[in-house]
Amino acid sequence: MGTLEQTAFDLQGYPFNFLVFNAARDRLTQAIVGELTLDEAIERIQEDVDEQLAEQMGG
Amino acid sequence: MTTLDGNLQTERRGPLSRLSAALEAGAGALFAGLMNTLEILVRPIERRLGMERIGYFFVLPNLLIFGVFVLFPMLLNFYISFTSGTEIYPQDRNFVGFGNYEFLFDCENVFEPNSCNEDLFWRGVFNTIFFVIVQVSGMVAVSLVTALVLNGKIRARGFFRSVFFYPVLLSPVVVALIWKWILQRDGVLNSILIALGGDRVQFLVNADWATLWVIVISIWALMGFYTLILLAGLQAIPSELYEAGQIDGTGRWQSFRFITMPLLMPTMFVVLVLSLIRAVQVFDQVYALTGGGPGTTTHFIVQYIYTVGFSNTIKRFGLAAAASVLLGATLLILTLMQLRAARSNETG
Repeated sequence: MGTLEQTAFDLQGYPFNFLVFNAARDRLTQAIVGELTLDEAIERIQEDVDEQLAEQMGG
Repeated sequence: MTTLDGNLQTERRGPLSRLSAALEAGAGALFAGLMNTLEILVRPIERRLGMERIGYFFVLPNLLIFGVFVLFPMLLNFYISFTSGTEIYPQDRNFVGFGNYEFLFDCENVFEPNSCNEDLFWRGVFNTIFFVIVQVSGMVAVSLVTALVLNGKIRARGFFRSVFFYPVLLSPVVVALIWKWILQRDGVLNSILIALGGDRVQFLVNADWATLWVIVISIWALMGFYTLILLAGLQAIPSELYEAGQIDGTGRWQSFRFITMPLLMPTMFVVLVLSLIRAVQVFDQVYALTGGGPGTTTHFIVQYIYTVGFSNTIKRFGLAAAASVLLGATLLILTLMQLRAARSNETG
């Protein structure tokens, strides 16, 4: 039987989980079509989430 | 005698004519009544403001609507572009000066979007520039050829003029959905290709195909409008010039090159600028067709503004407002070009 990482489990109830989901969807698609490398895509996901959270905290 | 003729005519009139005359008389009386009421209301204001300034009173309602729904939101947007945070009310937002603009322009190399802090903005800018160049040149060329064909003596001319104008009447989302039905994986076009023994093509998933179809569909949807403008321009060219050309022995190409094109140039310039402004604003049709994808291949500047300001989980109004101010400045320059062209056209 598969196990779920605690981080993945917590992500389900995280109020801003769609920040992560949307950024992952958009940036990984860019990696698939060759606009970004996978490393760049992961960096951009982190940046997207950080920037939007910073905006939420008042910019 | 006159009375007798009049009576005879009245007797000969049908019930529809009598109804029409009664309606005409009623409308006349209503109009006169309205004008009298308006005069009673306006006369004291005219006495107070004077004849020269009464015009301002009449444009006041329109100015109020323009002020509340256009000018005020524009100024508010301009102010919001200097603020950050997710608060809606301006007084609750943090003033950051040119912070949003600096963030947008923070690039190692502007021509390499991956080196920019806000890479999606620059991808949107370059995609829009590419789209504008290809779509506008294609649009002008296709509209000109269509207008020339429809201006000639062809069979069912009126029908074809209507057919080419029909897509203009459709909503951009309807256009996108029709074409999505044609181009999707199991769409009409792929069904035809497979029936003919060909392979399935991912028209909306392959980056090159998606870009091509976005441009083609945009031209198809709008060319009727520009064809109509060019057709009006073609019909304004006096036929005597072509007759004089024929006497001088000009061929079809020469009369097109030396008569049609120079006289059509002012109309062509209007079409060019109008289509340029429209192309810069591209969004709804493409968003409904590809959603900006695959990747960011069809992600244009207006979609960037929409995504950042409205569709993301955390709405970054300041950044979206800054991008829209930059877009507005570009459109202002294009509009001024159009006004200048229109003015030079009027003065001949």
